[in-house]
Amino acid sequence: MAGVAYPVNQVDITPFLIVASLLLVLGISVLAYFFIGKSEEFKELKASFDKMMRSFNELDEQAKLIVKTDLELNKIQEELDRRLIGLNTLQKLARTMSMTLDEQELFQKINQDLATELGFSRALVLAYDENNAMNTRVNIGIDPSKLEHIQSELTVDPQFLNALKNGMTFSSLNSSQKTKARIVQLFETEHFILSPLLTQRGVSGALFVGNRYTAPAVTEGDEEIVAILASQLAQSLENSQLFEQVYSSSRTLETKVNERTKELSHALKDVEEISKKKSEFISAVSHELRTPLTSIKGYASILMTGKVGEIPDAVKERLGKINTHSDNLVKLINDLLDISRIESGRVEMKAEPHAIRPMLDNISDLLTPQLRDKGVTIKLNIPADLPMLEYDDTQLDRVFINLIGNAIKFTPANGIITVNAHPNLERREVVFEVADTGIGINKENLTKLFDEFFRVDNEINMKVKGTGLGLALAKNIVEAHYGHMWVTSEEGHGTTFHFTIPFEHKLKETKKTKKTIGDA
Amino acid sequence: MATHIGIGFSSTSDPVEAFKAAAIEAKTQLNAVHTDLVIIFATSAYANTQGIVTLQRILQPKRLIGSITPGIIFGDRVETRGVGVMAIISDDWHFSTASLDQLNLIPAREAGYSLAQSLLADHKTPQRSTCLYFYDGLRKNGTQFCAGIREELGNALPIVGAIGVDSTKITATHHFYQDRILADAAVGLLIGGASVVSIAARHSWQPLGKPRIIDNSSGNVILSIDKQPAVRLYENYFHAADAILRAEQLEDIRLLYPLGIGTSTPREYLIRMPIDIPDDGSILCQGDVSTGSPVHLMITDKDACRQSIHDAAMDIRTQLFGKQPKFILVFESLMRRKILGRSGIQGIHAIQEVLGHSVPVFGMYTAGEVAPLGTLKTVSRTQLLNGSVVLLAIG
Repeated sequence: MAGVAYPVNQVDITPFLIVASLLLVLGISVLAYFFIGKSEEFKELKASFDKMMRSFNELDEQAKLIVKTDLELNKIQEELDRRLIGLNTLQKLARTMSMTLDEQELFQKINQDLATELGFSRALVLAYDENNAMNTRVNIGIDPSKLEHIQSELTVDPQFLNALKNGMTFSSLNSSQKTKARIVQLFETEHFILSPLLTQRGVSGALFVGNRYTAPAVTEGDEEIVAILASQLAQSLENSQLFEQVYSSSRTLETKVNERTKELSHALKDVEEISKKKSEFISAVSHELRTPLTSIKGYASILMTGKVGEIPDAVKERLGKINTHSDNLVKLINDLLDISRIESGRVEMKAEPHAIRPMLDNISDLLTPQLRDKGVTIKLNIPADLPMLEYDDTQLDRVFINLIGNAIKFTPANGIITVNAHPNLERREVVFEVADTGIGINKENLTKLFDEFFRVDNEINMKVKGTGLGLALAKNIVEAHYGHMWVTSEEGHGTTFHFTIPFEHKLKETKKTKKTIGDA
Repeated sequence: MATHIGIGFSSTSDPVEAFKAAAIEAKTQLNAVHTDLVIIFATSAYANTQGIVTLQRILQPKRLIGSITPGIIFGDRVETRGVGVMAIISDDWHFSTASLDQLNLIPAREAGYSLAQSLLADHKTPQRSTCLYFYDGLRKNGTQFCAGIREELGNALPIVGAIGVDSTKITATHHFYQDRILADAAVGLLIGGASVVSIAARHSWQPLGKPRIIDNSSGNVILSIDKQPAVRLYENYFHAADAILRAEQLEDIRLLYPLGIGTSTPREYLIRMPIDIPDDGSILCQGDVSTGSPVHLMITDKDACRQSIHDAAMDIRTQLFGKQPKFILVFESLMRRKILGRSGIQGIHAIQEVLGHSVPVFGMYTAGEVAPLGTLKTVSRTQLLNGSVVLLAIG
């Protein structure tokens, strides 16, 4: 059966399609919303990431600045450290250099250790000798066979010569290309410093220090330190040379002094010998003179008594003069004999304890007629508690008579002679002074006053006769007692003779016997 | 049962005389005919075989090791020229020593392993307290050598070491072993017995600038940082081309501004000193560096350096519960010495101020220090460090 149609149950899917579409739209919306949201997050994340990267980059830029500053600081610190080490080394060197004045020792102090401490592996010290030739005095790390070549090359280099001439230090930092190339080739060093050794007398040499190619370059600080070292070395060398000169002069002088002393010693011996012979001669002559003089005086006295016949007055008068002159001659001969004995050591001292006051009273009594004649007063200022002294009373008596006698001679009328005595407990001696108010003595004569036969050239001495032996004798007697005698005077105001006598006689401790005057 | 320590020093120009004087000084303090161990730290001019022979004759040590160094550290001073000697006699401790030369012929890790094996072979007792070794500063693979030692001796054994060099320029390096002076070598010491060992390592470096990432490295070579040749990092900071850096500034830069490699512990950095900048723009470090590690330029100052020595000494005191050690060995970085300059000795004084003035202190300046990093808070592996101070106290 064809052409028959059957009804079909049809389902309407439209609502489903609508729902599905709605769900799809919803899903897409949700997804779109989700993705849009995420996209925002991504954007935010990306922005944060970019921000972080920018911060990192900024941090990196800051780090570059820090690195730059830090690097500079480190370099400064390193340079400072090097300078401090250099200065410390120089200070140590200065100390050791100051301890020697030997040139050889000074050069020995520039050694490998010093070079290393200063940061150099090579060093050379060239110094001029007395013939103005340059010699190597220190060589550290340089092949000795090359030294001659180095010296000959250096001495024709204009910058080296200029540096020596002007006392300038130069280095691989500031030398000319040509000089640098020459020095680098000569010393096989890339970095170097060359400094002249300057003294007050000019340039005495040069100091070279250097380093090989691998070492750090020298700095201005190194240059300054090496210049100080060169200056210090030069100064020490100069001191050493000056010392050598002074030492040499001193040795020459010493030799001369020794030679002259020997000559003088011989001369003194000769003089002593002559003096001894003179004393012996005087002694012999005096003895020989005294014997006939005694006879002359004796005969003159006999004649004067008239026992051998009456003599006319005129003859008597002449005989009286013979007698007086004979007495004077005897006194002169006695003094001469005493002096001669003192010098030849033949006068004996009998040191015994005595008080001073009685002796001076006796002398005062003895000289009273002369004092009265002259109208001169004598004052004895002798402390009552003056200790007893040990002396030869005969000899000390002569000293006081001599000094007071002289004082009477030179003190005008109404003058005063003062004799003082005061103990010096510290030196254990008594100091005596015989002072007058006379005419005084000038300075020139004061120094000769104790010379034998010296007489001051003045009016009084021209009138009064004397031998010029009295003071020499007095001084010798005092010295024989281990005392001293000296004189002070002011022209027109008077003269004071001072002398000392020790409390105890020194011989007492040793010999307890007599002492000869010549021992003093 | 006793342990006695004698320390001597001389800076006499003649090396033989210097060894003689230092040995006599140490022997005078010991007052004994023989010594069990002698440790020598000497500056390069004193790498003198005749000197060692003279010292051997005087101290008659059973074991002798040592290293050259740019500076010798004592409790009260630092000497930059001379020879320092520490002589030990002990009934409590056992010492074994070993050396390995011709390091250029052996891979570094194998060399470390081999040295450790020799030490163990020489060690007669099962007790091992610590290992000390000195490694050649001209070799650029210290991390691998350290790993080799660690591999054989185990991670638990405290290991301390130092990279000996003649100066900051690292032109030559020598080590002392028995009566010989070795070049291109490593020497080691194993200490066993009834001894208490404490180790403190500190550095005072702080990160500077933004962090970067090492995106390509191989062993101790950093090839690129932030997708640029590694040297750019320094070029950026120092405004200088790599050629200038290499020629003029590397000496200063590597000592003053090392790299700080971030570790798993926050704010803890492994310091790496650049030792070369090859033409390809990479940076050659003294120790290994891992790819992916964050890296910083590091900086420090004098105060921080001094404080870090004090902190290290305090660490030792804490570890020893206040007990005084028999002696202290100090391994101080050359980098820190450059920063501290003349005031370096003030930091050294802190050791005796904290641990007692009667404690003998003997040490050296190094181009690299070996010690466990973060010794106080965590037991971590021994590593090659840079820019640090390491104190080894034995009590």
